[in-house]
Amino acid sequence: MSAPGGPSPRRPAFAPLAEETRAAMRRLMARYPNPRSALMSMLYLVQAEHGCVSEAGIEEVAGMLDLTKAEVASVATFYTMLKREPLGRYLVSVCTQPPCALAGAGSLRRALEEELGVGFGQTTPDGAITLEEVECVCVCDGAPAVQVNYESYEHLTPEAAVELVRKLRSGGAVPPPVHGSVPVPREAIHRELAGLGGHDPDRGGGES
Amino acid sequence: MSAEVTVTIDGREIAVPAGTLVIRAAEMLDIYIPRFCDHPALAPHGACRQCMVEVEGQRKPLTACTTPVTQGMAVRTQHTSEMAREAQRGVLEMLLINHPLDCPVCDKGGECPLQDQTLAFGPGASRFAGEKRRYPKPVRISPLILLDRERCVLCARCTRFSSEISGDRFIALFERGALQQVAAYEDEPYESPFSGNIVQICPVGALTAEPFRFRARPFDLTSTPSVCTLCASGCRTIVQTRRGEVARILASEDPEVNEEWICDKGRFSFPRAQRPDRATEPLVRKDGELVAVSWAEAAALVAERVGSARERGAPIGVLSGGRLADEDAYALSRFARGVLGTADVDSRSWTADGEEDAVFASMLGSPGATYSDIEVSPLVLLLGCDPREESPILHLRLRKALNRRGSALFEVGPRATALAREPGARSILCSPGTEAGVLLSVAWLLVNPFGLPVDDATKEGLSSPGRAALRDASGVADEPVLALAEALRAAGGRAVILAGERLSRSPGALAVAWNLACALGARFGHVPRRGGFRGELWAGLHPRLLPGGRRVEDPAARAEVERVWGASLPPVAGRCARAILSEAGSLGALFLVGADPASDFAGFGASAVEAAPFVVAQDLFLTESSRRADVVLPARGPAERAGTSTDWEGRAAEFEAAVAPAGLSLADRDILAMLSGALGEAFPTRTRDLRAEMRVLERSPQAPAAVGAPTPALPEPDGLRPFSLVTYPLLLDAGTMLAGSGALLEIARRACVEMHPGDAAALGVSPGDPVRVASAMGEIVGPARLSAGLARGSVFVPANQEGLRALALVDPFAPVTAVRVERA
Ligand code: SF4
Ligand code: SF4
Ligand code: FES
Ligand code: FES
Repeated sequence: MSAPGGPSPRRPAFAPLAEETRAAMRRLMARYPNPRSALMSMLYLVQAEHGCVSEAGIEEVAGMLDLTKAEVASVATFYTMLKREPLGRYLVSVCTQPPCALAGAGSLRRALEEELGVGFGQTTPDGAITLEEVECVCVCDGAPAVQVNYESYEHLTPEAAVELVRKLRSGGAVPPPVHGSVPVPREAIHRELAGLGGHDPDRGGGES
Repeated sequence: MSAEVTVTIDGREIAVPAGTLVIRAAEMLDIYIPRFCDHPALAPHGACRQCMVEVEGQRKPLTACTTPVTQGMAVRTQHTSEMAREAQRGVLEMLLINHPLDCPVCDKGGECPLQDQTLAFGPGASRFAGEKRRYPKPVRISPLILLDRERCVLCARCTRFSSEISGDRFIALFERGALQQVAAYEDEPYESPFSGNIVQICPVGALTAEPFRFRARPFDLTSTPSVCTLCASGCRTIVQTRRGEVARILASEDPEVNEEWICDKGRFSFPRAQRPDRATEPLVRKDGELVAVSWAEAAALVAERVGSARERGAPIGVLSGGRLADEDAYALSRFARGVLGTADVDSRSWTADGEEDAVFASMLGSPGATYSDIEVSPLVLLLGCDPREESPILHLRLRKALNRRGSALFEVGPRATALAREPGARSILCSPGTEAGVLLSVAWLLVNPFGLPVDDATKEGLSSPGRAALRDASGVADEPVLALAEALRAAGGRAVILAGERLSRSPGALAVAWNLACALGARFGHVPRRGGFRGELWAGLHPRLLPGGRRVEDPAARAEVERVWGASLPPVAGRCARAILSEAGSLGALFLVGADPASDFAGFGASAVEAAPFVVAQDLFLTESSRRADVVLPARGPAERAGTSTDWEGRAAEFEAAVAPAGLSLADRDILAMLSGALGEAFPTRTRDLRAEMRVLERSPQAPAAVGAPTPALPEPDGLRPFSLVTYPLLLDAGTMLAGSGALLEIARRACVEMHPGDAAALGVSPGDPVRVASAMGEIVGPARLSAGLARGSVFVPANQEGLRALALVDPFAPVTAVRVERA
């Protein structure tokens, strides 16, 4: 897609989607009267497999839904949770909005950047962690907040934050957040966002 | 219909149908509310927020373009409300924050709604002191269309046009927030035969057209209302000139015809006027070379040669090619029959069976289908026509009927059209040449089990002994035939049957289609490919028809024409173009008036033109045919003369000349008057005299009448791998009128050999493989393209694409050309 400033310098080529993913996409399409309603879920599945909404994924999804690539890219570039650069295993999102900023988000950011050696919007060379900035994640009472694969950690100190990413990187056990559960790796979280996680109605079990 | 409601706008009351948008109701009161995204032909969107008005009882201003009126609503616009004024000023100030204000170098400057509305409604100054957002510019979203993103106001008119109107959804709004922008996907360029329309409706200078960009300022252009004659859609246009040359062509508005759209061929092919192969002075062959001579010398030579041919009684052939204005066509018919005394006149590049002229005769004298009929019809049956390629505005109207009105469309033929993808459309694929069999089966169902009441003549016209065999040969199953019959029964007289000119090549099919329309009381439309065809047909440039669709064999009809012309007419039918050409050697003379048989009939036509002892070519260009002629008489081109053009509906529109003629060229009618004079015959010399005669010859409309029993013929199988060739020209091809059109030609589709995946698999052909297609006339090799929208056993090759011309394969003597297909 012609992003501002032209194509991105590092846009790896991806293999075609796995047959299993395609089958899952077809199941998603069958859930709606108009299959195109499954578009966003399908893009999360692409992200589960490729780590981002890849060109190859856009092409496949467009083909399956009889949309143009432009129409798919229009959605893929609109939503901030759909990424166009491959994500690391864990996405660490630092809230920088005023309540968190007043509670010390700035020092969290500096500590994390120093620890990881990357800035917002970048991924560590080992592919473990992508650091990003987000707007309010709705736990302002727990400011400053950081999300790890969309699980919110609250009242973090710079030291605790560094400790957290070290554990994530080394594969060690991380503590659960106050609310929610221990972050699951990238693939699982995007399958869940696609509507195929723990509550996959196609596999039985309760759908919320 | 819908109830009326009364609203008050700026204190003035008006009753409008419920559901009317505030912005439209205001227009009815001549109150203008500023707007960018609003466009009456597009669905309400509310993207730009410019049209804010105050509505009594609402705390905040509302967008007039998305708010429907309600009973008793009181609206106050910028004229009476400070709230509305303030909101509109605020929106304009915001839109201008990132706008580059490069009006002095912007194509839109001088006709720009942003300029105009800022002046009228905007703040005088901006409070924004920061740096504007900038983009590298421009983005080339297609070879024709450039996008300067920083000028865009994100109104989404262009993207909505592409999805709602043309269906070419290759542009969309990408990104979000301050970075939101119109874009095409990197490797999926915005290529649409309607792309120029988005430039015209963009309310700012964000979209510009390569052929016009930086060429002229709008306020320096002279506008002449005109009519496009490049196809039979009949689009109303505005030709804009600068220093005597066409600088730009815009769509003009006619709700009955093209609404407000035109295709890119009509919009961007004007640079042809400046081409080096343009004929600008009379040429006469001397010692094998064409040399420039005076009009007097050329006319004298023609008179001498034609005079002696007349004395000897040698036949004279007169061919036109669907490119003439109505007056020129009429003058040619009068010249050929009245002055030259020949009946060998034709404007068709196909040969048809005997029923075609009966259909044309009845059609020209009865009311036919119109665009408006299509829009309200519950069912359209489309035959022998690919509207997107052959009559683009008809395509848009059919798309509208399907998408907005929920109509149904059936098409019967060997190749599915682009409409087959639309909701409610269904394509019945049959082998080429068997359309009549499918239609006869449908008719049989309607007349027999369904009991459609028909008179004996119609019943006769819908019967054929060969029906069953033909149905078998068509390869069509029972279900679609039944579905079509049921749909036609349900629609009855509200159905519309559209037959493209290619249907005539399928034996018997045109007659059955016509008779079916007569039986149902349905409207019928004949869709020719070239813009001058309908006028030429009316004029009698047909071997069996006189002006007004009178039949040559009818003595009373002949007498009517003889009275007007003061000449006696040959009482016999003439020969068709193919027959004339195949005996070209025995002609006394061959007149080609806007006809190019060496291209239309490929090798066969070229050798015929060579063989004819004396060839006079009246043309705009030195074409394959005219460069072989003995005399070339330069004719005036579309924008160079006034005239009338009749579209496929039979609707006539007059147009004026917009530019001075090229060189010494003359209008065809004036050339013919000059030649008549040289032959010592009287001939009307003024356009208004020709028009007066044409009015006298207009017949009063009658009810359409069924024609005799059709004579379908089974296509003959032949050869080792008997494929049937399906071919017709695409909208953008290597045709004469398009040469020299630069960027427009870059979007012409690359030619492929299209085949059914099943056939391809049987031949071991994969997409892109080189495939050889060979007929008795020649062979070509092109890359394979697989398409399920093609009947089994058929291959489609576009007739005239650069580098791959299926015309060279067509057997002019067979209704269907048999070809051998193999991997090359
Ligand atoms: S390019 Fe023009 S028509 Fe398209 S969104 Fe921008 S301003 Fe509107
Ligand atoms: S649709 Fe036909 S008449 Fe209209 S602009 Fe295109 S070529 Fe001309
Ligand atoms: S501002 Fe950070 S969570 Fe709300
Ligand atoms: S014109 Fe009403 S919101 Fe754009």
